[in-house]
Amino acid sequence: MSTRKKTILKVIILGDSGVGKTSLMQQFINGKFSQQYKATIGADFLPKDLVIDDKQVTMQIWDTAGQERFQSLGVAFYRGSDCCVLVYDVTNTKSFENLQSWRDEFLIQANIKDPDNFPFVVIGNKIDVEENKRLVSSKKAQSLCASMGNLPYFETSAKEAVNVEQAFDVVARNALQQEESLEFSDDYTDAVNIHVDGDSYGSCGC
Amino acid sequence: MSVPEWTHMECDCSIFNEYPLTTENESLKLKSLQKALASEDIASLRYLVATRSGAVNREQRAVIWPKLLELDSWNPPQPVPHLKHKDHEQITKDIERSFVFYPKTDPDEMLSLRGRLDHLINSALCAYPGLNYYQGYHDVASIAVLIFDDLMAYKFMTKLTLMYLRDHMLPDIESTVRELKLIPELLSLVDPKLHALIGSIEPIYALSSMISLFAHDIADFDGLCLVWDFILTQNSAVLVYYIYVAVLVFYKDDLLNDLDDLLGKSFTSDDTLTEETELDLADRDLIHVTLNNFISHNLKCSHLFEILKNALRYMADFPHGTLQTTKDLSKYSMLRAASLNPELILLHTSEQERSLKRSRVSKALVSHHKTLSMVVKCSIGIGVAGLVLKYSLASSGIRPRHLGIFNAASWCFSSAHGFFETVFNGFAE
Repeated sequence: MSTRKKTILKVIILGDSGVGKTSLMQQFINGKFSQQYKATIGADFLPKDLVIDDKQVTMQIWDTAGQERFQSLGVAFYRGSDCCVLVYDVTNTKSFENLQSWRDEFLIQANIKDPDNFPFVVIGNKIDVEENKRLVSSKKAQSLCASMGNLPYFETSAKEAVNVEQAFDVVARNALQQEESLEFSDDYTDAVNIHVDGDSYGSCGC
Repeated sequence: MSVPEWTHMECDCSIFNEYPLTTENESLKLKSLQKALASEDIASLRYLVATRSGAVNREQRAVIWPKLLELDSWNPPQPVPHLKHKDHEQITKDIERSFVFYPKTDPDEMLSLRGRLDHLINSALCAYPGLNYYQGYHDVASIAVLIFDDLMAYKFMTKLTLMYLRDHMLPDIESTVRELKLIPELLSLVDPKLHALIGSIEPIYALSSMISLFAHDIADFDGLCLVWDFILTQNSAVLVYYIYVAVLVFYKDDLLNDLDDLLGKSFTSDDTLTEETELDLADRDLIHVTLNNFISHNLKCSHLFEILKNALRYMADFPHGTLQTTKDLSKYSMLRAASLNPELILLHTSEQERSLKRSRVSKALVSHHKTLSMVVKCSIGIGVAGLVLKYSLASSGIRPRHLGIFNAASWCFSSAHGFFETVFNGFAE
């Protein structure tokens, strides 16, 4: 492994084009919003240092392209992820209906060993719009999240900084838990190796 | 071809490469450009445009770029008014995020620019069957909107699409990804040491620059236009890849310094750059992101001319036809087939679909290797057993009506074959 001491939490944001993935990332990392973000092409991340329960971590938030034709590139970026944020736009029904397929695609491309226990967080963005423009109700979203394995669900406005911190706090905690569980399984593998090594030198030790 | 006295001699044109270009030389260059335009001398025009300050300004470019692309003789299909391309929903989303860097203008003007952009993208994509929209195409078309009127913008975009962009417009991104491999290969030739460090990183970091002809990543309009001046002198997208490599090599020290800081290792000292620079996943992610943002963070327009000249030099030293990546591309690729027959898009598409189908089958065969090998082994086993039985029974004088076992063996053969076929076709679908 790397010589870096700090724990890196790798978080991938996925969702249809235009749901506000870049805006959410910018709001969380830099605390600002612009009407004028370029469409994201490829994949990019911004880091943020956090302290979670006295533990220093660096969260890397990966922003990705929403157009379907770029999805196949995920193989190159999703590996080693600790959490995946699925974003839809509450004014766009199709973006909500596609959440499941974003999740499935992620699990395949990231090659997740234990899909049932991998942490996802669902975000319904753009709740700052007028009520009559909203097309996906909270109830509908909650029931989908429940059916996808009780995924944590947040409704946010990246524009007005509503609930963004709260959502990413849960993202960070779940990512840390995932990272630690992986570390534990790594340690476990190492321990087995040490044990085997020990056995082979056992006679010398006596 | 007769040589006009005012140009062609290399020493004559080299004065246009001096820095800074004196007012005197700039007006001489403008005069030379005018003469080349007036006499329709495209060769001289290309030569003059590939000097410092390129085609000089927006007004000149509006006249010169159509000449470089030879649009006088270009007759695309008549655009159908209000026709929407199948990808129009995505196009609409991206148009809302267009003209981010420039121009600085009022909301009304912006609305009008975006309206023109919408019309241009939809009509250019509907011009030829088989074209798919990709994010980044809108960055390219924005430049055409800013330089030309609607009619010329349409002519320009239809030809640019077939010459420079069509490989990125197939149903999936496969051919683009293949072409991106030109970057590590070129880097291995131009700067093996830099290649030793970043050559193993998937070149997706270059994606946005390559598919938008740098329009997505260069925030300075004049700087971008200078890059396009050079690109448009070439009649092919090849130079785009050489320019990308030239940027990395030009700013190599900055790049290595950035990576030193980020990765906490020393890449600036020579001995760390060996053939086997070991990188873990976190290192690779950091290198990807550094490269992904490299052009927008590091490229300075004052260096562009040097970089573009270097790119032309690399192209002369390592012609793209000799590169393995080019040889591995489809024969219908825009980097191999110079023809602008729109039929090539459909041929390229169906070739890609066939290869996708093949790769799915072979993947399925690998993952079902065990099942299939068992089926094959069983059927051969039963078949052989059947044959042995048939002959041993026949030689011991048992009549054919007793040979039901042989019929059973044949049945096993054919049903195994049927199963095999179903599995195979099922995966191919």
